[in-house]
Amino acid sequence: MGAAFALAAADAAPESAESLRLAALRERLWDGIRVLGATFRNGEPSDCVPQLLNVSFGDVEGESLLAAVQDELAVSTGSACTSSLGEPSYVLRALGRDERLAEASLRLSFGRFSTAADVDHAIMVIGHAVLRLRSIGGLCATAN
Amino acid sequence: MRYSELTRRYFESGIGAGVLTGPAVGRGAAGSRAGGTWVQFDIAIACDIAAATATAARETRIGAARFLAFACPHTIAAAAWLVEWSVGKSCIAALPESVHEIAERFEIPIEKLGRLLIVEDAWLAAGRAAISLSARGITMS
Repeated sequence: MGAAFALAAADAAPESAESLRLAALRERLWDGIRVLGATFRNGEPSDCVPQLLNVSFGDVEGESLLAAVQDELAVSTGSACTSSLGEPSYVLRALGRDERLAEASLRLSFGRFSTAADVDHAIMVIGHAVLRLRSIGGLCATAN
Repeated sequence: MRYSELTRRYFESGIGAGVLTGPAVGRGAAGSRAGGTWVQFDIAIACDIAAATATAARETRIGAARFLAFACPHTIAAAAWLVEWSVGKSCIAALPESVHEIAERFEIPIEKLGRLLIVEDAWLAAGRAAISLSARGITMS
């Protein structure tokens, strides 16, 4: 058990190879998501743990966003404190997000086995869902 | 939140999403995005039948319909189903089923019935607008 804790502590150190790898994946994901527009990163990047990205999506209804991605991605909404409550995160509200944005937030986590290909797949799934829901909501020009 | 197979099918297909354009389109909307649920319907009445009837309000038929919705999956599914059902139907001044029957059809939890009332309000507003246009002889070409 002690050896396991030592390994975990070494991996979790900010300058460890694993932390740097996870931070690179996190930034890759954010770069892929931010091009959608009306996206808001929650939390200060320099103070965030490397394996976590929390994003609010404007012009998208939160429950539909989660429903549209949950078959392909294991994501949570809101903050870790409120993801099981089915209501907007008070943490995100305290960060200044309004109720709609707080509802339309995804918390994306990485782990030891996450790869760049996983991140690229997540970008594709989220991008498709956001654009489709914005179209259905009359908030972009691609409604058919 | 769990969704029925029917809800998932209509939510994922988004069938009938979009807008209609032209002078014969009756549009109705209800709810608000800021409030979390907003629905809009466009309805156009087919010209051949509308022009042939003296009592257009009762006997007109829908030639095309579309919806937009900023809403939960249940609401999107109900709106998509309504649009799909409506084409060729004559009754546009009311929902084809009661709100409770639609809730049962899609297994919508009771706490969401208010969202179906928004769907109903938007549908009725669009229907009234389309009927008004057809009564003035403005129908789909």
